[in-house]
Amino acid sequence: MKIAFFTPTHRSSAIARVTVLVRTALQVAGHDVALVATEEVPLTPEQTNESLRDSVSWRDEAAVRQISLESDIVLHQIGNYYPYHAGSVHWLPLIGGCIALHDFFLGDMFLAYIPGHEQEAADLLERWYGITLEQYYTAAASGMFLEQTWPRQPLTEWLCQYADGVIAHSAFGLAGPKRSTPAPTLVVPLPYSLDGDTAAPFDLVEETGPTRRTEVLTFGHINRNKLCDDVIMAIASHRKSRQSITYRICGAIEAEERHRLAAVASDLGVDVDITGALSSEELARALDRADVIVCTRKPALESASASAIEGLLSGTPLIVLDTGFYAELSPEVVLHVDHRDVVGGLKKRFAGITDGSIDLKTMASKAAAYARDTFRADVYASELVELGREAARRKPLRELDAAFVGLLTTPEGDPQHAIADLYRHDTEIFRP
Amino acid sequence: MKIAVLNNMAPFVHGGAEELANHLVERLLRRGHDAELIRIPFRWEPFTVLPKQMAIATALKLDAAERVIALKFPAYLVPHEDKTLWLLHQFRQAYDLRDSAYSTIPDSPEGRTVVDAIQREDNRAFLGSRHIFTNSATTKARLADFNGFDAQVLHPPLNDPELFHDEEAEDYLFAGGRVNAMKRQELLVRALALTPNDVRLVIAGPAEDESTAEGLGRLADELGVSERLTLDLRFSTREEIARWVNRSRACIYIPFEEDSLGYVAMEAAEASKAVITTTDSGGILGLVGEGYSGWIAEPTAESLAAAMTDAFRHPLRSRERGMNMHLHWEAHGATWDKTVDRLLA
Amino acid sequence: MKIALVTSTVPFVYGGARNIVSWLKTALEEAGHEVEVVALPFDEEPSRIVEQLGMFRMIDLTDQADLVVCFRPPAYLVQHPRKILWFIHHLRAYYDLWDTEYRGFSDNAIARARRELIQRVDNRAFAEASHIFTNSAVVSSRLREFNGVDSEVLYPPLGSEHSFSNNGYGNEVVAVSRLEHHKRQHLLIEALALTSSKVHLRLVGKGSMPGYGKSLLDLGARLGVADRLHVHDEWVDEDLKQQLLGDALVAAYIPVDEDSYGYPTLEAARATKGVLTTTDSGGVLELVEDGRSGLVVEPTAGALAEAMDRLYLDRELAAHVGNGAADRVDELGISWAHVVDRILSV
Repeated sequence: MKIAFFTPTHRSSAIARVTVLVRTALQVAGHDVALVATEEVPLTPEQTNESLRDSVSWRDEAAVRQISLESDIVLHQIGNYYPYHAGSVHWLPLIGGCIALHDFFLGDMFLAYIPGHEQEAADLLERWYGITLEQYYTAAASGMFLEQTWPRQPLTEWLCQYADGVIAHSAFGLAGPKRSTPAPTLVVPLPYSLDGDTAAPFDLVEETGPTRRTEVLTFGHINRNKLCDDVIMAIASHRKSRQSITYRICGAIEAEERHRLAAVASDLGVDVDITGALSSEELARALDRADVIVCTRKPALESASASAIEGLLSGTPLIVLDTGFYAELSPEVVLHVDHRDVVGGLKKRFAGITDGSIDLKTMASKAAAYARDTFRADVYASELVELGREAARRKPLRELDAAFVGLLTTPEGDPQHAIADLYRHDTEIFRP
Repeated sequence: MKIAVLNNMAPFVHGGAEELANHLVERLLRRGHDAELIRIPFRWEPFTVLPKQMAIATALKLDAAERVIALKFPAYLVPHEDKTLWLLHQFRQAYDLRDSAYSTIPDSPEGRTVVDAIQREDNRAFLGSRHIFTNSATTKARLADFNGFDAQVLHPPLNDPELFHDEEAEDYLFAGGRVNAMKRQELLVRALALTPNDVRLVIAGPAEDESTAEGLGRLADELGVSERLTLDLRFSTREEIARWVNRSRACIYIPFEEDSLGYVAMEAAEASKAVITTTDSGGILGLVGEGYSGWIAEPTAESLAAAMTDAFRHPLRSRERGMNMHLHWEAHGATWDKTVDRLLA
Repeated sequence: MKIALVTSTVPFVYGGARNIVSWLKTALEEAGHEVEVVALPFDEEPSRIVEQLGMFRMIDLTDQADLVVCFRPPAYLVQHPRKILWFIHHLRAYYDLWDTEYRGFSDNAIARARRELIQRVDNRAFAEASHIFTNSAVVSSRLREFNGVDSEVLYPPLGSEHSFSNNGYGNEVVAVSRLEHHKRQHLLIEALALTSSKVHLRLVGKGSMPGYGKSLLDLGARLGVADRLHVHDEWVDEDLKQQLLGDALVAAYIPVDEDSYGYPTLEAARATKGVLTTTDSGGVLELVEDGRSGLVVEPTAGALAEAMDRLYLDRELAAHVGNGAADRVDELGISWAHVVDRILSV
């Protein structure tokens, strides 16, 4: 098949790395993959992921049309960051295609899109949520944008209404896409692999002897969402945990935040090691050393978490909340914590770890295999091709329904409406 | 230039708009353009088919045309970058006729949905047009009132002005045009019955259906005016119509709130004949001045009878008003050349 | 009866189905019926084709006409309980041209899905028709092959404003048609170069591409037959065309595998001239039989040259096939009276 990917190609883009993986898997399976780079501002070759330098710019209308006319499948990589996905936002309404949804919340991207498209944005908000642009702006400026607009205003409808198929990496946020399109939706685990130089060798967890402390790790961009305070509090509330756990916090962190966390830990008698930003090699070693990784982001609206997957691939069990993508991970390799009482839940887990009732060693031994088996590019590629085939089969009827969308939907959305009935009667001849 | 002229089609119905569209295309061809008339089948009952009728128009692809001139709803909804509207009338059921006896759209949730959709699509089409012309001041006013859009008045010209000229008046008043309830020939017959016996009336034009035609004949009999009423209810040739107009003492045209000027009025003006009309006739009131170029009566049999008697019994007065009518028309009236110039500007 | 004639058009491109519709309208009106023509633009751009099929489908003429006759696709999608098809051609890109270089678009998965939809819709629409006519046996066999439906051949006549005369059998082979490679005027010129008699060749019709007419003249010059080759690279008016055919020895029409016999063939027969054609001209052979209504030869310059000489030297043969062509037209019932009769009888 001839496949066209509309994707970010930036070196720093995690989604671009996913594209590389999937493209390779598709090529191995005998397909042809053309690339359209979707960054708002065209990149220089140096800024581009070196495996994706054969992409054309989304602004090259002739090239894009040519690619789209020849392709059997078009796939848009969509995440919540407008600078990366502007090209798809532009082309989806024009040519459709399948969407790989990396985020179930597209509010931030939508906000970046609004300037210059106020009427369209207002119509969208009215149509899907019955709110005004002013109301939405108020929520955006509140400092609690995500909390106020998720889950009722996910904005996935905005783009998924144009999709011929949707592929997501977990199921929790599919309500939005499903209500905006009758196109097939598929859940397939995000394809992932650790790069050569960050791939940690598969290491058995060392024996936890009486003198060896349990290493708990949080890594990534360190901010309030990572709930480090809750981890510290949970460790602090149990004497045995305080005595046997070292909490390592790795990743870029503001100086102020670093001082604050260190002070909190010190006050509560928790042994904390805040490393700051790390190189890939340093991070790989930290992952390797960790006995358990705390991956509790709140709120977590990506359809899959790269850091969680990285943690598992490195052979380390995770502690995660029971929400979002994390809820769908196997309890054999992750420990779930009730999101309604994070500190309480963490406390229980740490207690279990320190008193040995939780067998981290067994979980560790399963984690890497589980991750390798689940987050596979070859499976993703073949599911994608199947989705693409199904999408192509349904495309002509979508073209029909899209052209006459006004006859199908009424403001009330009443499916019994006489006009919709008439449309269905008129178009019966087209349907299989 | 490649120009597409868009109009509706109610199959097997041919009226003034069809004639206009044909003549427009003809004139464009004469100017050396590659002009084509596209007629879009249109039904409006039951009202629930209206959204799909609009969808049919918006699905039409006219990339091959450099310019589009559209005349009616929903033909003017056809998308095109270079679209000029010459609005003969909007879909009045969704506007000024909404609450009248002529409305076919009920005041129900479904009816309101349809009216909203029509107004939304209309506004979009108006916004996306290069120019908007209307065929009368009335249509222009309605467009401004209901949709908030400005337009220029472009009266449709007579297609065959050379046929109409002043001839020695014989002893009748002439009422031309299509014969149906809205044109109110029945009222004229009742008015005739209130005039003195010397007043004669000729009604000539195609009747909407047999029952309308028969009804007029029966009414005339009942009222005892058959002797002085000539009913010529069929599609006459232009020459036949011209003869009626040219030799009349005055012309009569009393439609109910008609959008446009009416060919009857233009023919009369061309032939220097005064016109009797009514206060609620619509577009024609832009041309006829009471006491100056004709008579404007109340829409009652009595008032019309008075005007008819006055016109019939005072041929010199009629003649004078007829000449004023002609002068006014010469100064302000439309010709096809001027019309094409403005449409293509 | 109120009869609606429904067809699709390419805006600003005239001729073809439009002529048939307009001539049929005249014939039906002369027979006392009321006729309305519904002609709407249709564009085969792949990403918009399905939407436009939908548009045609939404047109409902029930209760507005007593009978509907549908011509060019997708006119037959309109809704009406009494629908007759006078089928001229398929949406060929999705049928017999699908596996050729003439498809015009990429055969990706979506195009294949559209093809499936179009064929499904066509089959169902054909089943709705109360009767299907086609314009030739070639088209009828395609309907049978692709859609499994039976149809009746109803040959489209020329409009009645065409009246031709026969002024005798002169020195010219006259070929009336658009000048393009597919119509093989170049082969006629090559044949002219191989003739031994003083026969002339006249090509009447506008080049489909600028410069094509000149290239034919150049070919004639190169082959040394410029003095016997005449090319009117323009649309010629009816009167001149009739006069040229009226004086002709024979008409020539040798398109590659044409769907139907084409108007040039009918025009020749009207002027009581035979038609020189080739074995691979397709539908032309439904009207032209070798030795009777014309000459049918191998598509080579040599065979064509031989035929031209034969006719030049034997004017009686020319007259014989000329009359045969006229008879053949009558035999095939190619007349508006027959058309009207068939349409109103089914």
